Amino acid sequence: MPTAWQAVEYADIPGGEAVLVLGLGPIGEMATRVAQHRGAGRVIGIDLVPERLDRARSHGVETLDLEEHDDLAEAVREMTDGRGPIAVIDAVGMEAHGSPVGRFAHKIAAMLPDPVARKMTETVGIDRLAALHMAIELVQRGGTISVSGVYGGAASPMPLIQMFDKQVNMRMGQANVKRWIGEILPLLTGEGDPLGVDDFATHRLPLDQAPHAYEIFQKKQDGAVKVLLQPQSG
Amino acid sequence: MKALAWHGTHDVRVDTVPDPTIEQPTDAIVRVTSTGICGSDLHLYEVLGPFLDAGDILWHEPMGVVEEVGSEVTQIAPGDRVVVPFNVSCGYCYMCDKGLQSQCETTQVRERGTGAGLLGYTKLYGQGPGRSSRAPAGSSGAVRANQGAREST
Repeated sequence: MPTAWQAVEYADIPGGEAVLVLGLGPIGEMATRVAQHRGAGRVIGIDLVPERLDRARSHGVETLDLEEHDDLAEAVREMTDGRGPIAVIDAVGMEAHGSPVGRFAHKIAAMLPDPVARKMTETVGIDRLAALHMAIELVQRGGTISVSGVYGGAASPMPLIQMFDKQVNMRMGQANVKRWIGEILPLLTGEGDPLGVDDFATHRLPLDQAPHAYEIFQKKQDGAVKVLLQPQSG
Repeated sequence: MKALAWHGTHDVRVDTVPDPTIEQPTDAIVRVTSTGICGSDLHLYEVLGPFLDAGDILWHEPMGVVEEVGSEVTQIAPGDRVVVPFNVSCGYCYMCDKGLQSQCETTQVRERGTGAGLLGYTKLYGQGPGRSSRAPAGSSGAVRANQGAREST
């Protein structure tokens, strides 16, 4: 929740304007709800997992299915007066689908002896940068990209000519959890449930099912979006 | 106690590990009632294996009940329901004063050049092997949630 909150804060969405959220995993989906709650005019969400698109749509998010578009940038511009959204939240990070080279490289890194693999991960910038590069492509000129997805490369190639030309603002970082607690906690403990957290978790499993829980979350199986482990149960 | 431990890429297991103890006067021990699996746990599960050792315990989205607190912990007490932020932050340094708890100067992992320590997130972020439900810097870290807080996010 604080990660999604900070993602929206850092996106700096002017009241009534559009924000696009790349990736509708737990952070991305919660960011769509926070953006709606805080007055974004339009909230557009992009993913390729049907259950995730359905969940977002059921909460009033305009969704685009990556599987259905050959030219995502064009599809987004058509929705946003040709300019693109003024804010884009990248809630994908290193887990992105659809980048076979990056995926392959990660698998290779994971299989190398530790010191070598560490060096590669830290210095070669083996990363799946597709989502971040797409965010730069999609954002309106002069707009803001807020990165909540975690990227791990230390020397990741970035399209600086395009970033400079478009006058892109970019903010990122781990959530400063305590900074946002004062704003978030009343929404979780007060009347109603404005962010829909009561039914946000898709799975609540006892601790002994944790290996299974990791597997379904990683493989995006069984509709897994948010999995809670509850050691006292089961 | 039981804890989820990393044993290799795509290999996590529920192990029996020693119970946590109060090591610093600012620690708290929390009986975890719910803990989320985060997308960043999948990085540990998959791509960050080189930074982990078998037996490293994974957890960083915990909610639970305080069992015991160190002598300097004043804002939470045994029996309180709490949520524990994954940033380990002191609450009084230059960065914490600016609301940048992720850069806390007291817990920065200087030997690795990284920011504030993160619960259950490998030696990259200050967690040695075997760390369990001991909440470092419990005096400034844990947030009392009390009744009515929802165990869902």
